[in-house]
Amino acid sequence: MKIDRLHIDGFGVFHDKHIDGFTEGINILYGPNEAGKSTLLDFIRFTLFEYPRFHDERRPPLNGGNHGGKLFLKDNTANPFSIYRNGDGKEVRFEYNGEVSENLQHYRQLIGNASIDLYKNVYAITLDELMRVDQLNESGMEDRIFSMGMGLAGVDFGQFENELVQHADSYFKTRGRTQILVECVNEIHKKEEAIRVLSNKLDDYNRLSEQKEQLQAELGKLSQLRENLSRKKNKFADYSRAYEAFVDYKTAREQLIKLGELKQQPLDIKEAYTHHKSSISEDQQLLRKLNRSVEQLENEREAIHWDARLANHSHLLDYLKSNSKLYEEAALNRSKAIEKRSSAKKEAATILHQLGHGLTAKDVLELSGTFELQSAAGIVVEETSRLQRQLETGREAARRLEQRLQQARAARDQIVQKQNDLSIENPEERKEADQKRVEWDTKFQQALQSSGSRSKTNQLPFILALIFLVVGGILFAIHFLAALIVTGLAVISLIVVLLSKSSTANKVKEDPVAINKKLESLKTAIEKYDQLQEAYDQSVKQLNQYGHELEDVNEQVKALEKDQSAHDDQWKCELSERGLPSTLVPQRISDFLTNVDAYKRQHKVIQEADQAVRSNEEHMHSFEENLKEIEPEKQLFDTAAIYDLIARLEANEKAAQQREQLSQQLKKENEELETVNQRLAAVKRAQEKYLHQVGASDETAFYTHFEQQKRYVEADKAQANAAATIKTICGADELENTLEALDDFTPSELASRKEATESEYETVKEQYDEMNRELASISADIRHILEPDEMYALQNEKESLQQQLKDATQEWLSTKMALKVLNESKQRYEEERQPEVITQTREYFKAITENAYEDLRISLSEKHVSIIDAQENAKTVEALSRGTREQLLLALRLGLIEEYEKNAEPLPVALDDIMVNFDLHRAENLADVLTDFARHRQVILFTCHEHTRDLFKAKGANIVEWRD
Amino acid sequence: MSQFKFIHAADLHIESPYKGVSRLNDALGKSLVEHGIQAYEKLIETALDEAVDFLLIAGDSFDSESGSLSAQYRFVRGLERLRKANIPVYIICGNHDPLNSWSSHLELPDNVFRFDAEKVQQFSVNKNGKTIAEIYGVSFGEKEEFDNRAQEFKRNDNAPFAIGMLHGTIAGNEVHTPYCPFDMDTLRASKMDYWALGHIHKREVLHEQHPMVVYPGNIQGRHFNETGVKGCSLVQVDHGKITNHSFIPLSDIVYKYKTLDVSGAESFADFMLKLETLQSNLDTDRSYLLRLKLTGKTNLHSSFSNLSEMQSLLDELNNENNYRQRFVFIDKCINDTLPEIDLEARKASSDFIGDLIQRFESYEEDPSRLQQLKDELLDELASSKVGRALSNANITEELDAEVDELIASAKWKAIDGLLKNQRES
Repeated sequence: MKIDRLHIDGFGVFHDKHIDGFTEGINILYGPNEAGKSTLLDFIRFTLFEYPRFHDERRPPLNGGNHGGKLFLKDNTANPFSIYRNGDGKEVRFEYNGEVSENLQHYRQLIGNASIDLYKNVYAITLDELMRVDQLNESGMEDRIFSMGMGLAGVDFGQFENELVQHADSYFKTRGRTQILVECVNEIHKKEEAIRVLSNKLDDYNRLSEQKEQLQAELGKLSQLRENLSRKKNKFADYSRAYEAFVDYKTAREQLIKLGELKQQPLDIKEAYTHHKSSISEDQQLLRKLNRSVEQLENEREAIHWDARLANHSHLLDYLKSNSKLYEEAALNRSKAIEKRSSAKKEAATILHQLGHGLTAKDVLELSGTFELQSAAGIVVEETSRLQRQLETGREAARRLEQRLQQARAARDQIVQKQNDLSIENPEERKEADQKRVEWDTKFQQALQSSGSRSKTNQLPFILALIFLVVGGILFAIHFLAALIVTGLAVISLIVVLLSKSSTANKVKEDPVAINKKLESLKTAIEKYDQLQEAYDQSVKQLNQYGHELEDVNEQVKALEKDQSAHDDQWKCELSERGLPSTLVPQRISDFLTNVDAYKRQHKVIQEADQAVRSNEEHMHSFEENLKEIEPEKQLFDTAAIYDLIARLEANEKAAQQREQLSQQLKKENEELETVNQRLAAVKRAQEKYLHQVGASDETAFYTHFEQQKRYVEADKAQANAAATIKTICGADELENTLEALDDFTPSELASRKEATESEYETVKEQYDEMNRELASISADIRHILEPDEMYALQNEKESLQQQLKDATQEWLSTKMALKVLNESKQRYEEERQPEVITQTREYFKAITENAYEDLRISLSEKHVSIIDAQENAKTVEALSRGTREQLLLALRLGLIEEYEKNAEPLPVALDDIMVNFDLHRAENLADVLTDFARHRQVILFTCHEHTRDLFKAKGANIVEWRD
Repeated sequence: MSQFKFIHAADLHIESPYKGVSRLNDALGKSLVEHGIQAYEKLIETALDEAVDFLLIAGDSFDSESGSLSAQYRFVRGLERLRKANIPVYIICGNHDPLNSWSSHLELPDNVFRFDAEKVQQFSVNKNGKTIAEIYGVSFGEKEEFDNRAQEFKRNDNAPFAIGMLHGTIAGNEVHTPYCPFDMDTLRASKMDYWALGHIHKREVLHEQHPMVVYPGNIQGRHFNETGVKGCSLVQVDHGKITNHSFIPLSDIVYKYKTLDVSGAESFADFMLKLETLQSNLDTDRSYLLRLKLTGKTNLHSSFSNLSEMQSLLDELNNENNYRQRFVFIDKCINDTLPEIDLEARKASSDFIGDLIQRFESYEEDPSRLQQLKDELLDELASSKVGRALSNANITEELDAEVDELIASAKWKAIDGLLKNQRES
């Protein structure tokens, strides 16, 4: 199979690239670095086999186009076929003889069932690979040679194998101690041991259970023993506690026996006796005390000073005490009243004198109706003053009127005078003048009209009369009466107008101005006369008036004077009625009456003072009478003497009281004395009776009896107490037994027996407690054995470990199997195929090195390579130069291809600038070797070196033009 | 009047360990300890809740091996609860708890009737002063009994309802050790109404009527061969006729195999997504111990083959569980996936890898050669303590059955390794 041409749609730097002109034999693709040689090589590989799985290794197009392309090929019978692959690896198109074929199996046959790995390992030889070889050490180099020899150029077979071995060894290795399987087994053993320890507890359980049962039985017995001992121990404890009581009991019993029979007398006899004894002594003491007290009281009574005569008047003490003050006051009041009386008498005489008018005291005191008199005086005074005022006013008015009358007369006279001076002097002349004025006035009017000075006004009444006439006429149509009146009036007016017209028209025509002048002076004269006449009339009238007024006033004055004298008469009448002198004017009546009152008052004072003097003297007299009763010999009493008497009376009274008190006391004491004496006698009789009852001859015998009786009772009580104590301690029914038992023991014996029992009990108790603890501990142990989750966990863990052991064994086994089969394969390969490869390699190596090396000995199974040079010296790979090592690898590859192709379709061999490190000579040799190698196959050599191109060109290689 | 109901359970194996969990972490360990007796307690509670008239336990109440003592103690404590409810319990002993393994110091409550080993014994169950059923049974005296005890059973003529209790293997079952083997004819000949059998852990009703013959299965799966929900049988009887027979689940941890198709998974993230979906489809009532079989063609094939890588992934996943409540523990992933390489094409090429694939296949096609290969390799271990441990734990035997998986694993190890190595260079 060979490549004819190719078309790249898009791949790396290439876009729509077509390369043709590939032939059989060597094809040189020359181009400088970075021109895309390796891209082109990848395109061929990917298209022939497959695109890599990882996207970034697929060389996507950098300059456009669909990722992918097509290779045009020819099979060994020169049939053309093509393969197209898309860059995503999903589209594959296979055409055979110009026909699209679905049968990819056919395609795989055409490419000899080779894989991309095989191609890479066998057919594609790159400089990189050769260069990398240089960096390997000897064993690495040999591994690589070995891998290459197996057609696994990219695989470090040795390392892989080694890894598998190590993996297997990590699981198990003979005599190894730390491998997984061993450790797992160790773990299992540990768990088993732990389980065994735990399961031994089954025996423990049985043992413990037996122990427990045994212990329970023993405990039962021990418990019984303990109970007995406890009882015994308690008994001894009781005995020892009761021993004291036992001794008391015994003592008491002995004493009782000793005392024997004794008649028991009631103890209250003794008490009563003793009580009486003390009461006797008390009473005797009391008697002595009372006697002393009586004597003392009598002495005291005698010592008191007391006046029996005064005592007879003691009833007056209270009177004197309460009235002595009054007596004093009465004396004082009497003298005051005397003084008051004399001054009042003096005052009354003065007032009477003041009253005068020859009035006596009797007149004054009998005077009555003073109030009426005073009011009558008031009225008289008031009326008199009013009449006086009116009289004065009337007289004044009369004077004024007379004055005016005189003035009016003078004024009238003046007017008369003036009238005489006027042109018109009397009323006749005035009448004439008036006629003259009318005459002249008419004249003036006529003169005025005749002079043509007609005035429209003269026409007006005429026109008006006409109008009225017309209206009257019209009114006829409406109202007859009105029309008649109006027409009548109009006619009358019209007549008047016409008449006046005719009169004026008849007047003499005179000068109006002169007329007017005369008229004016006449008028003035008339006026003046009229004025004076009026004034005269008035004055006369006034004169008359004043004359009348004066007459009236004078009459009034007379009336008033008459009233005045009436009042005076009435007043005089009032006075005489009361026997008072008429000389008393009403204006003075008020003072008069005041004095009368004052006099009356004084008179009363005098009377009262008299009364007071009398009454005080009465009081004094009665008090003094009493005093005289006490001290008849005394005539006069002064205040001091009175008070002294009272004091003496009081002192005497007090002494009397004291005497009385003492007498009372004495009486009482004497009575008590009597009582005590009686009591004492009774008690003494009783005492005698008690002695007799007890049968005692005297008091000593009486008391001895009771002493013995007391001892007996005490002993009896002590015995009972002791018995009660014993019963309390040892039990109610145990008295007799205890007494009996204790009779046998001395105290020390009892103590030692008690101690012995106690210690015995303690021992048993300790045993019992110990055993109980043991039982509890065993029970706990049993419970602990019965609930061991630990055991179950261990078993689960053990099972898990066994599963792990199984898994690990499987892993170990499968790894071992892999190694075993791998080894078998390798052995067969070495045996059947590698000898051929090595033979071929040897030939190529010799040819390239121009027989500098004779032989190549490779043991793949032992991974050892020796190179024999022309001098028969054996060299290791490491001893070779770099170029030689590369040549060796190249020779190995060529040999491998030759061997591989014995069973498979030859494929195009791709070489990527492999001669960089070759010297010129060996490059020449290689060119020859390759030319020979390519005789029956296609070899494509990529180079960027011109000399390489030229070298091969000289050998007749096909130069493929591929650059634009 | 003669209506009653009873529960038939067997193979309680109280506190027998959970097996097959290779990556047991602390939390799961604790959780398993806590769950150890839960199924049994559920059994007791069910008996109380259902107020059954009696309870039958047909052997293997606990393992006689290590730890049985605490199991017995716990067993007794459960029975005490039934005593308080006046529910009698009839027990036969099986091969795991033969009579001689019962502690003489542990006293059974007086509601418990344990059958002797010498001969078939009979107890009557009374209700309201009347016998409602007669129970016949016989115990294992020792661990290994191979006699056919079934033929010793004979029904009394006047028994209102007869129940036979027997622990052993029915003829025809090759999987289990043939302790006390018996056949259906013998069972029928005994004229029992109900055969309460024990020993086989897989639940099975062998015969529906006259007599009804039942293996209730164990109450809690203990390894990956005992998958699925486990429990007991509830039987109702009316006038001597079985009117109802139902299964009551008791196990709250379930062993389960699950297949997970991971075709096209490009990354672990894809894988995790698929895993989550699978987990969310599980019953939320109970906890799971899962083994996953990964299938499909995926790039992750070689990663799935990498034991340590997969283990750390699963450890991480499992550590996220809350073992105090319900959990899903993934024990391991069995890699049954295919790589994305064209195996056929590689095989056809005449290079080393092609040759290698052919060689592996030649082993796969020849079981005896494969066994031989495995045995040769195991011989290396045989003399070591590892070898002894393997045979003690019966792992050697188990490996015999898993040899195909071993060679497949080996094949991928070699080929994946080589191809990966090649690409990396």
